[in-house]
Parts: sequence; C-alpha cells; structure tokens
Amino acid sequence: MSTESSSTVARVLKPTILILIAIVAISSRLFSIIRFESVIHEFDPWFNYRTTQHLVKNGFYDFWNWFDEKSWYPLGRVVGGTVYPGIMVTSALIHNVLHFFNFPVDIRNVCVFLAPMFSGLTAFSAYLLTKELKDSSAGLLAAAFLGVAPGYISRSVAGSYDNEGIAIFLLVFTFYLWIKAVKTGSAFFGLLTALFYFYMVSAWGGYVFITNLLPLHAFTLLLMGRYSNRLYVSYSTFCAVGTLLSMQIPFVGFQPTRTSEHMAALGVFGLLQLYAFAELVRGYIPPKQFRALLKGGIVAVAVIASIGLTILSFSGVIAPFTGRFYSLYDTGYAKIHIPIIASVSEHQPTAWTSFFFDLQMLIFLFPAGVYLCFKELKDEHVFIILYSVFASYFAGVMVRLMLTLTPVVCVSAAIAYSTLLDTYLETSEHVLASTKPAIAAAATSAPVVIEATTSDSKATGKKTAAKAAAAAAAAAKSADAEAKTHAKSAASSEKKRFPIFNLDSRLLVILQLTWFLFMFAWHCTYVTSGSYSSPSIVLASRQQDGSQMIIDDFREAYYWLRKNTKEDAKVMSWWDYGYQMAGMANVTTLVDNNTWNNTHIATVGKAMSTSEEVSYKVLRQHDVDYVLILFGGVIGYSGDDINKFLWMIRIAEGVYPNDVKETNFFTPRGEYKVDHDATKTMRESLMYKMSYYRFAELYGSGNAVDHVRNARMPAEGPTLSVLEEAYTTENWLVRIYKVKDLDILGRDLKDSTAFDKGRVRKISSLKKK
Amino acid sequence: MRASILLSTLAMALVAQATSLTGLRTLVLLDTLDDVLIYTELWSDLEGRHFNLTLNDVSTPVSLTKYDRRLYDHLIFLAPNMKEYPKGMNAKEVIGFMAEGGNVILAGSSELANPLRELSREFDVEFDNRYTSVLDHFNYDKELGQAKHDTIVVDPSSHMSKIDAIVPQDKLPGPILFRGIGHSVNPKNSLLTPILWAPQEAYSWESVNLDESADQDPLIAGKDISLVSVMQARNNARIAFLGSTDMLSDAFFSASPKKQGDKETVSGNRKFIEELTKWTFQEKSALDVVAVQHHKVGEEEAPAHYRIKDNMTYTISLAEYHEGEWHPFSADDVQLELIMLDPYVRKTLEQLELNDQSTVGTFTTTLQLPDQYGVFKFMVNYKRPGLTYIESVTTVGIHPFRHDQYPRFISQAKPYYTSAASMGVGLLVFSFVYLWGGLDSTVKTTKKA
Amino acid sequence: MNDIKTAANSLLTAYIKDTPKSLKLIDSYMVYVLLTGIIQFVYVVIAGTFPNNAFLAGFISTVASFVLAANLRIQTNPKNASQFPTTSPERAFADFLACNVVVHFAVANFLG
Repeated sequence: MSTESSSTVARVLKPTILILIAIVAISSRLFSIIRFESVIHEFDPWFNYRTTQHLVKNGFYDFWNWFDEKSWYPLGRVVGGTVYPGIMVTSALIHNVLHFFNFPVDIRNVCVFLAPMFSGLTAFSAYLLTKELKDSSAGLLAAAFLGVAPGYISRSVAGSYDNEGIAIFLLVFTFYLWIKAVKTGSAFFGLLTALFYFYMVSAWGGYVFITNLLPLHAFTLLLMGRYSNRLYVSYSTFCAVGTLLSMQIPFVGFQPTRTSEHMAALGVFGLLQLYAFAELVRGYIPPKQFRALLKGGIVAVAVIASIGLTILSFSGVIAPFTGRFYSLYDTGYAKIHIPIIASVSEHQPTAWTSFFFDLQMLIFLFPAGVYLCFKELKDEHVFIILYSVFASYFAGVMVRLMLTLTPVVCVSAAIAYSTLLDTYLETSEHVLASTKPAIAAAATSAPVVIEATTSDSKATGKKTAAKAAAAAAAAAKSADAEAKTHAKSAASSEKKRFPIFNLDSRLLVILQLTWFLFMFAWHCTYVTSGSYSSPSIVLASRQQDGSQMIIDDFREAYYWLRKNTKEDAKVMSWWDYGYQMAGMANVTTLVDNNTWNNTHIATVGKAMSTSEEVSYKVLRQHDVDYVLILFGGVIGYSGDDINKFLWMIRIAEGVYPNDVKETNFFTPRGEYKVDHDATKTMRESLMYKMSYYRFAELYGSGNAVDHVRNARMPAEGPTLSVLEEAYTTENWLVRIYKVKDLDILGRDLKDSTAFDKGRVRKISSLKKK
Repeated sequence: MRASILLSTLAMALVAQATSLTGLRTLVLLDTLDDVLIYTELWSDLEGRHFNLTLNDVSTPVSLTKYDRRLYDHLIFLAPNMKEYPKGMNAKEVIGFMAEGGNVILAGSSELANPLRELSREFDVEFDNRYTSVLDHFNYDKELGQAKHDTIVVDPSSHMSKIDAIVPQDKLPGPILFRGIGHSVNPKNSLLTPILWAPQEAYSWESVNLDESADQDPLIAGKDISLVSVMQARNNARIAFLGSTDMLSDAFFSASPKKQGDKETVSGNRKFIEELTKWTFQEKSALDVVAVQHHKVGEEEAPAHYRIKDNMTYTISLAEYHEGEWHPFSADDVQLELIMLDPYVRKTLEQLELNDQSTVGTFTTTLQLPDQYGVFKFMVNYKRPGLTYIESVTTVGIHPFRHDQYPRFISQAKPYYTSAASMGVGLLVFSFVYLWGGLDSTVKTTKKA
Repeated sequence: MNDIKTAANSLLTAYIKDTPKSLKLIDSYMVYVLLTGIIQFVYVVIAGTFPNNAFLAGFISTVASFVLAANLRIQTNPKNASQFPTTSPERAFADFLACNVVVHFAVANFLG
C-alpha cells in the first residue's frame, strides 16, 4: 500500500470505527427499553426527571429558585440550592433545541436516552485521551472498551437518568483536556479544562475526584523534579479559573475555600506559584546567591504557611473532612456514626468478584498497562499511574466508585492490548532496519520510537520516521528520571526489540487476542442484558412453566395514589421510595432519597417502629394522610420494608433512644424473627402490623408463610385501629393505608375500631373506681 | 354541615323563627304510643319551632339512614324501657347517624335497660345500675316526691353549669324537677360537659324501700351525680343525656316545686328543656366560618406562596346562628397560630367594629412571617364550651429568598466591587499598551481584531 | 543575611538589565494586581468575611488576573520559546484575553 492511500484509508477508517463504537455503546444500553418500555428507572433518576420537567415547564429562573413544597413535608426543600443542575440543564437544552427545530420529542424520552447518547461521547473522549498517551489505535481500543464495559454501563443504561450519565463523559473529557494542556502548555487548553471542570462540578458530587487528582499530578511532577513552564501554565489556569467557576453552583457555594477536600488544590497552587517564582529568580542570578535567597525564602514561606494553616484549621474556618469522604478512609466509621450512609447498598465495600464481573479481561490487562506507563513515564503517564492507583483504592472501598475506576482501566488495558498487538502485528522489514543502529539511542528513547513507528498511518515511511525520531529523541532528553528508568529498561527493551518473524507464532497470539475480544464483548453484553438492564420499577420473573411474569405493582400503587387521593395528600413511606412517589404519584412526601435531614427520617422511623398509639401522634402531627409500605412475603421480593426494618430502627434510635430500642426487636436468643417467636415490641410495631395485616387470611387456616423470611406466620394476624387498608396491589407488593381521623366521640381509636367490629363496652366504668 | 354565605341567606329566607341548622325531621322513640299523651306540651313546643315529628314506638321497624344519607335530622329517645332497638337500628347506626351530623336526645329513667346504657358508655357517660334512682332526703319535692324522696328539686343557681351558650341560667323562672336515674361523666373527656348535677345531699340508690338503710356506699353521690349532660362531638353533632323522662313531661312542666320548708316556686323545666333542645338541635350557639382571607400587606389577592419575613394580613369572618338568623359573632379571644410541626407565631385577632349592616364578625391581624421557610398552617382553633368547634386551617408555603431578592449592593463590599472593576480596567489598559505600545522586538505587534 | 543582601542586589540589577520591555510591562501589571489582592486580603482580615461571595469574587479576580498575566509572561518570554513550540506570542495573547473574559464574566456573576 502506498503512503497516501493507506493514510486516506486510515483517515476514513477511524471516524467510521468511532461511529460504530458509538452505535454499539448506545445499542447495548437499550435492553430495558426494548424489553419493557421507555421509562425512568430506579429512584434517584425520578427526582432528576421531576426537576427537569419543572425546568422545562417553568424556565431557568424559576428552576434556580425552586422551593419544593411537595417533598420533606412540612419542611420543604430548597431545590435550587441543593441540587447539581448539570444534567437537568443539559436535558432541557437538548429538549428546547429539538423543539426549536420542530422535533416534538417528549422530555421523558430526552431524559431516558440522554445517558446512552453521552456514552457514545464518553467513548470518543476515551479515544482522545488514549491517543495522547499512546496513539490512535490504542485510542480506538480504549473507546471500544469503554463503550461496552459493564462498570460504566451499569450507571448509564437508557432510563438511568442519573448524574453519572453525563458525569463520566465530563470526567474523561476533562482529563483529556488536562493532558493536552500539560503536554502543550497552552493556556487555552487550561481554560477548556476549567470550563469542563465547571460543567462537571454542576453535574456530579464526584467532581472532588478531579479536584484532588489534578493537584496530586502536579505535585507528583514537582516531586519528580519535572517542573516545567507548561505545567505551571496549565495548572494555574485550571486552578484559578476552575475554582472561581465551580463556586457559581449554589450547591457547592463556598466549599472550595472551606472544606478539606478542596484544600489540596489550593495548596499545590500556592506551591506552584512559589516554585515558578523561584525558577524565575534562578534565571537571573548565579547559583550560589540563588541558593542563599532560596533558603531564606523557604524558611519564610514555611513559617507563614504552617502558622496560617494551623490557625485556620483550629478556628474551624477550614472544615475537617465530612462524613461521606471520611468513610472512604475509615470504612467502619459510617456504620457507627452515620447509619444512613452505611445503609445504602452502594456504599458497601466491593467484593472482588464484582471487579471481574464489571471488567472481565480488562482487569488483568490493567496492571500491564500501568506498567507500560511506567516504562514511558512522560508527564501524562504519571497522571494515568496516579489515577489508576487512587481509583483502585476507592473502588475497593465503595462499590459505587467502580464507576470512576472503569475509564482508567479501559485506557490502561487498551495501552497494554495495543502494545501487544503492535508487537505481533509489526511487519518484519522495518524492524530489522532500525534495530541495530538505533538500539543505543532507542534504548533511551524507546517510547519515542514506538510512538513514531506505530503512529496514525501505520505503514508509512517507517525508515525516515525512525531516523528522524532517533535524532529528535537524542535532542529531547529532558529530565533525569526519564533517562534513568530507560537506562534500566534498556536491557529489557533490547530484548523486546527482537522481531517476531514466524507467522504461526504471530497468528497464535493474534487469534487468541481476537478471541479475547470476542469473549469480552460477549461477556459485556451478557452482563448488561442480565444484570444491569432492570428498570427496578418493573420486575420480571419466570414462572414454573417458563413464561414470563411481569410484576408492575409499583406503578399500580403509584397510579392508584395519583388518581384516588386529593391533590395535596401527604404520604409517609421509607425514604427509598420518596422520589418515585413524588414523580409518579404526584403526592407530597415526608422523606425522600435526598436524606438531608436525619431527624425527619428518624421521626418516620419512629412512626414505623413504635406501637399504634405512639405513632399515631407522630402521624397526626405531620398531617399524614396515607402510609405506604413494601411487603415481599407473597412473591418473595427480598427488598421489602421488613428487611429494611432494622435500619429504620437504628436510625430512629439514634435520635429517639427513649422510644425505640433495637434490642427489643430481637428474641432473647438474639434472632430477628417475625413468626411466633417475634417479640412483643416487634408484633406491636406499626410496620409489622401493616405488613402482615390480613396476610393470614390469604392462605386459610394457619398456613400463611412469609416467602422472604421463610417463616410460618401465626394463624391470627395483627389488627389495626389507627389505620385502615386503602389499597394492596396484585402481588401484595405495595400496601397503602389511610390514617384515620380522630374519633368523633373522643374515644381511643382502638376502642372505636373494636366498637365498629361489634364489641360493645360491657364493663361499667363506675365500678372501676 | 358547614353552611356557606349562600346557604345561610337561604336559611334566612326560609324561616324567620327559631329553626334548626341541621334540618327539621325528628324521630321520637317511645316505649308505647300511649306515652304520647304524657308529653303533649313538649310536642307543641317543638312543632311551634317547625319540627316534623315522627312518633314511633320501639316495636316499629325504622332506619335512620338510607344509602348513606340521613332519613332524619334529630333523634329523641323517650323509651328507657327499651330492651332491644327497633328493627333496622342499633348502636352502630346511632353513632353513624351522629357521624352524619344528626343530633340526639337520650332520656332515661330508673328502668333504663341495656341497649341505651351501652350506647351511652361509648360516650363515656355511665348510667347507674337498673332500678336505681337519685334520692335526696333534703331536697325532695313535697308534692311529687313525698313517698320515695325520688323527685328532687334542683336549684339552678348552684347546680347548673354556667355555660350560657347551652342553657342560660338566668332565664329559668324556677328550680328544676327531676325524677330518674343518675349518671357520671368521665372528667377526662373534653367533649363532655355536665349541665345539671344533683345537690350535695343526694345519692344514687335502689328506690325499693325507704325503711331499709343502705348497706354499701352508693356508686355515685352528691355532686358527682350528673342529672343532665351534653356532648358536642368533633363533627359538631350534639347529644344530650337526661336521666329523667319525667323532666320533659307535662306534669313536671306545669308543676310548682316546693321543697320542705320553702315557699312554692314555678317549675323551670319547660324553659330548661326548651333551651336544651334549642342547643342540641343546632338552633343556637352554632358558629360558622364565613370567609378566610390572607394577603400580603398592600395587596388584595392571596398569593400562591409567601416569602420569609413578609408582612401579611389575615382576616377571618365568623357568624353565629340563633333565633333563626345568622348574627355577627363577637369575641375577644380568637387567636391565629402559624404552625409547622410546632407553633411559630400565636396572635390574638382584633375584631373590627360592627355596624348595623354587618352580618358577620370580622377578626383581623397583621403580622410579620417568621424567618423560617417551609409549609405552614394558618390555623384558627377556637373551641369554647357550648359553641361549635372552629378549626380553620389554611395551608400556605413560605419560601426562602430568591437569589435576586437579596440586597443588590452591600456597602461593606465596596472594596471588592472596586477591585473587580479595577481588574477589568487594568486589563483593558494593559492590553492596549501591550498591543499598541510599540514595545520591543520580543512581541510581534500585529493588530488583534 | 549578607548573602541574601548581595543576592537580592544582583537579582535586581540582572532583572533591570536582562528583561525586555514587554515583559517588564507584564510584570508591572502583575505587581498592580498583586497589590490589589493584598489590600483586599487585609481588608477581609479586618472587616470580616461578610459578604463572602463578594470577597471571594474580588480576591479571586486578582489571583486569576495575576496567574493569567504570569502565563502570558511565560509564553512570550523568548527564553522559553523552545518549550512552547505550538504557541506563538499572538496565540498566547489570544488565550490570555479569552481566559480573562471568562474570568470577568464569572466574577461579575459571583459579585452580586
């Protein structure tokens, strides 16, 4: 192939491949749309969806100041100041643009399909990022990996309208811009980094990762002695402009100057200024005098800095690490002090099996890629190394953070994979030609050679490129560390430079690698289809004869609430369902997934776990009209409220230790039981009564079995006097109860219910004296 | 049951005399239809106030509601011997009838049987055992109670509640005659009010033989014996418990009670029963919330929501019904509360001056909303003895400041404004000088657009 | 101490001699920005941080301007030309202006 035609082919091939990758990425996220329907999944996305609806309907100004009276009744929630507006603004923008061009796309569809669309963009960003690290073929591999990696798909399927959907794209793209800024030293790229950082801050709370990783990178480069003006330009621009922009988001507010999580960025910024100034001064005066000045300067700065920092920390101006981030460091902290954080299943430590589940072969290619970065060890590779180390640690601590690990795993694995392919795909001639003379120079500049030879146009002018690269490499010997590491690996790289001629050995490896790729794609699709495409608002199960049974109880209950209750009905439930209820049932909720007010949640927990008399007071005080619970005992759904009950008790006990005691709910032997052995406190608690009310009647005499806890229930079920059953769904999954008004005659509700059932008071109260 | 302005004018147009807000269909249950002759004066009094009386005996099947609607508006039990409810009625029905707004008068006697006793128990009213009477050896009437000392004369000035809204004590021409069974009320039930109680010397005992002495303590004695009690349920339906059917009889209406050693007096029974039935049948002491308005100071319409620290005006109009018309209601203790789980503000409303044309009493106040945002309830919770319970709740949200409602320029921040401005100015100056200042060769001075 | 004095003196003379005029202009601009920042900082220490957003806006505008000017200086310094092969001085100035525009927008928004 001639030089021109192969480069043309390459130029056409690359965009085509990228588009194909985007199509694959989008399509593999559409399973749940095809199987069920275009609906918003899970819990948090419902709040984002409701907020987006409000934004589209009422405009940006109203959205910025939105005070939501329908959640956290009666406290209300200042949505404008407690939300990351990035995703909503993005969807609203897309919606408005489409409508401007007269495409009447419903906002729901925009929201549902937003994450897949952005996943295509994320794959593209991964391509760009890896291209900066190695070359475009590695970039294409990285894009392909990230497009289908289950670790990322889990949070970006169609319907999962959550912050991570666009945040990961912004994360990878911001990193790409940062690498580009460091490589070129352009203030423009620094500015772009800051702008996309701002976009990221508006989108996700995980922006703190960027806030700390970039300063860490700068600091590491400083320590490695790799200070350069490019670094100064890019980092200073990013830090100054980025911090200023990030404070424009009300939710972030003044945190960048207050909290410990942001201090690293400012610290490195200051350090860099001093270093740059020192470098500047060094350019003017002889070394000896410079050293004298330097010593004086260092002493002065150190004294001022340490005094200042101590004062600020102790006077509380700089807040210590908040609980959420501290629990990343000390995993046992949250369980004791902040049970709400510990109770979220996504915050549990990661089992190692989920690493394989989410990343398959990438997980063992990943360390190889990092090692290759060590071999290259340019500024950008240092970044990847740091990113991978810290992301691995965090992913090990919290399942949810697998998401931030996935991009770097894809990138490193792509580097490793691409290097493998390069070694085995190289045509022999050029390698022979450049081996002998270039070995000495190549030993110290091996990475440069590889870069030059495996650049975009693969088979073009290798000889001339190799010679020019060798010359440039000798001239480009910059820092000490680079030379040292390459001198070390010179011996080993010499070995690696031996060409591999044999077709069969090459074929063996290439075919195996291709087979791995197939397996990877198959695994990803299988995992996506099986595990990550459940909308969790509609459940599907297989009956015994193989037919599929759709369990749509949630929407049934929410729709009932929507149609059968008054406009401002207040519904109490556990906080998990708050967003869904507000979004689908359009009712006022007491607590929801935002969990910002622990006392309010504890009050709901108290109402659920105490006896009817005590909880009735709480219900009346909060004007509750309905109570909603989940009960899985009939169909065996294990995520129901009785299984979450212990968390409710723990949280309530934290605030009301006199009313709720966790130990009262356990049998004397320490078991958590719901059948005959259940303790009195358990049997009298409102949650137990609501769950098992009329449950025994389903099965006839004494045969009631709770399929989740595998317990045989007593033949006589509980009675309710302060609530009456309003609605139970088809599979008994969701149960709604109406709170009774006070008795008109002033009786206890227990007595009036008994009277209504026919029991008449026969004992004279006179005789009681 | 809540009448709007329209309904009240309609009511006014209908009738000029005392007339009940609930309606006029009255069902009376008697032991036997012969008893009709005992209470002729009562019937003429009631019919004079336009009530439609249906007189039944307990063996006639009757139902109080049909298809969840009341068939009658008031129910009078004058059948203490009733051992079973008439077909179609039971205790649950009666309470359901009250839940629908029906009013009840329950009169007993020493022969009070189980059904009514058990019904009364649901109201926390406990009648004494069957065949007991209220006996008093010092206050019996010389004529009617000579034999058994069971017809007692009760002096209203010391044995009657002072609640004028129910039975105004000063309107009674004389003492009350009573012969029947005593009951006690649960003091903890705030909806129950004793109206007439026995003198200190009375006691409740089986009136079998005067010669026999009591060998145990009576269950209730003295002032603990309530003779007449009333309850206003939470939905404002009213019920009156009387221990004596004879109190309503012609004989007692026209009697001249005379205690041992006192001079003759005129019986106050007729007036007492008249006032009691007027109260129980919602012909008087019925309040209504005619209108509630709230708005920001200087505006007319109620806003969709307020903002913290707003100044607002709250106005409520109350009317009272008596003598067949709605009159303005006057009081000096109507309070407004701003509640979000706990009250944040509690203020007494001032009444605006009444003039000849006022049909309602208007209470208003101006206050500043608290510094707390949330969903607040503006509540007027006015519960006074004898009057209808007023619980008017208006739910309004109070929002925090919008981002542009803060003061635009803060004087303390002047240095920052100047610095930011100076940065901009400095930038411009610097750019101009840099680009066109003709500096030396390190800068290629090509013009920038 | 004496070392420091001599060092400082030689620094000063070298600076005055070696620096091109345009860089000196940038340096004087930077000094002006620095002084403004220091004044604000002293003010906030004395007068307290209310209103915080105005203080941060003003202070960060000085910091950002300083940093951007430093960028410009570095990128247009002929000594550093080899490190910035793709950035011509015009490009550097364009970047400088672009960044400043963004910064001033943000500051204006944040001030109120």
